[in-house]
This record gives sequence, structure tokens and C-alpha cells, in this order.
Amino acid sequence: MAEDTIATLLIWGFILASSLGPFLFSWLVGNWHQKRIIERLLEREAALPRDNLSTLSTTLPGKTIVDSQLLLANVVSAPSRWQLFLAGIKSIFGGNIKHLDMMLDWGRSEALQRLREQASELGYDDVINLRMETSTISMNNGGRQKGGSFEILAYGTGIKYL
Amino acid sequence: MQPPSPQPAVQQVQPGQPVQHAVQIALSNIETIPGRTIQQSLGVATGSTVRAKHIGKDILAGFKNIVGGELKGYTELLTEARNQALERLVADAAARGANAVVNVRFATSAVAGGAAELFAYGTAVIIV
Repeated sequence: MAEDTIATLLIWGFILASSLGPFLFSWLVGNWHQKRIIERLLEREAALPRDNLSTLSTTLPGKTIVDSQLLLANVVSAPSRWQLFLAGIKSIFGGNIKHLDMMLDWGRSEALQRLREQASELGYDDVINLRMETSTISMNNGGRQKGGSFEILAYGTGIKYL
Repeated sequence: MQPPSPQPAVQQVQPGQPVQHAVQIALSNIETIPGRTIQQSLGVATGSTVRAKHIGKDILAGFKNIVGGELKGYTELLTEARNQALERLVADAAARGANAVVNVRFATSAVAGGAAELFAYGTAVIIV
């Protein structure tokens, strides 16, 4: 009788741990990890003296251009399992899903920051005609979109002034 | 539809590093190459590639997906694939006798079976 109870508890325990475990882990570790990467990004953004990106397609008037090149930066990012779970519940009622905003916003800022850093590392003064593109990345081979992962691509023309 | 142009070998490029093309072709996503004059337009040059993920990377990304944030394996894969699409764009432009491609744009679409198509296109021109 006692053995049966233990076995039942073990089985239920295993089922609960394997189904809820990833969600709990995602809730605890995911929030911490996301806060950390957002803080790091904010530090990097503060480290650059000025924003060298612009969506205009014109260069500064009266300046000589020495060099120009196409620059690309991308990032693939995804919300956590916990955020997707909350978003799934929220999508029944509709409205703004703020849980998905966080990583999307981070991904976009990160792609822009990578472009800024790449441009300043290569010695370009400005990046003009900045364009951004978002696309979803299907994750498994079954053809079903899962995991909510997306790619952000930012590109523009790097300009070096004399 | 054009006759197939010779496809260059894929380069291993680290993210954040500029691509070194076999042929020197200037690229920009504005209407001109700054500081140069366009002499002749040679039509639209295109380059595309379809890439699927490696199953190991897919599984690792699935684990990383639990906490969210960047999926580095995918970022690298897409960077590499996009560089290949650019290589093909450059090869197409070179086959047309151009020395620059202006107004380069990118398009990405997910096709069935976990593969992504990366497409780059622009106007092949001769600059002086």
C-alpha cells in the first residue's frame, strides 16, 4: 500500500516537474537573464558618444566623402517560454501583450546598437538610409511556428567624411 | 531570368566583419555611390539563398528559447547566409559588367521545412 502511494507520488511528481518545470525555470531564470541583457545593452548605448544612425538618404552638405560601404547587422531573438505562455492566455482576451514587447524591443535596439558599433569600429562617421526588417524564423521542421523567434535586420550605408 | 552566373565559394565571415568580395564592387543602399557619378544602368542584379538549420542547432536553440533572449546559432547562420546572398548579387553584377550596385535591399521569407530564404537585390550600375 505504502509502495503504491510512493510510486503514484513519483509518477505525478515526474509529470508535474516535466510539464511545469520548464515554465518555472523560464519564469525565474528568464526574467533575470532578460533584465541582465537589457542592462548590458543600455550600458553599451551610453558608452557611444553620439548616435551615428540616420534614416535620411542624403549626406551632410558641403563635406567630401572618402569612402562608403553597405553595413549589415542582425540579431535573432525570442521571448521566453513563460512569456509565450502568458501571451497565449492574453491572446484569448486580446489587447496589448506587454510580455512579448520586452524581447522584441530588446532585439531591435540590439541590432541598431550592433550597427552603430560596427560603423564606429570600421571608422565610418555616419550610417545613412537606415532600414530595418523583421521576419519570423520557423523553428522546428514540422512546419509549425513555435518558440516565437524572430530576426531583426538593420542595414544602411556607412559614410566616411574627409 | 538570366543565364546562371558562376557561383563563388562561400566565405566564412564573422558577424560584424565586412565581407571581402572576390570582385571589387561598391555597394550602397542609397541611390548613388557617394562622391561618384553613375554613367550607365545595367538592370537589376539579384542574389538569393535558401538555408535550413542544422538539427543540433535547432535543439540548442529550443533550450535557449526557455529563457528567451538571443539565439546566437541562428544569428550566425543568417549572417553567413545573407553574406552568401550578397556574394551572388555581386557575382551577378560582375557578370553584367557593372562595378557598383546601388539601392541594395534585402528580403527574408520563411519557406516550409524550417528553411529561410534570404534575398538581396539592387540596381547594377557603372560608376566613374
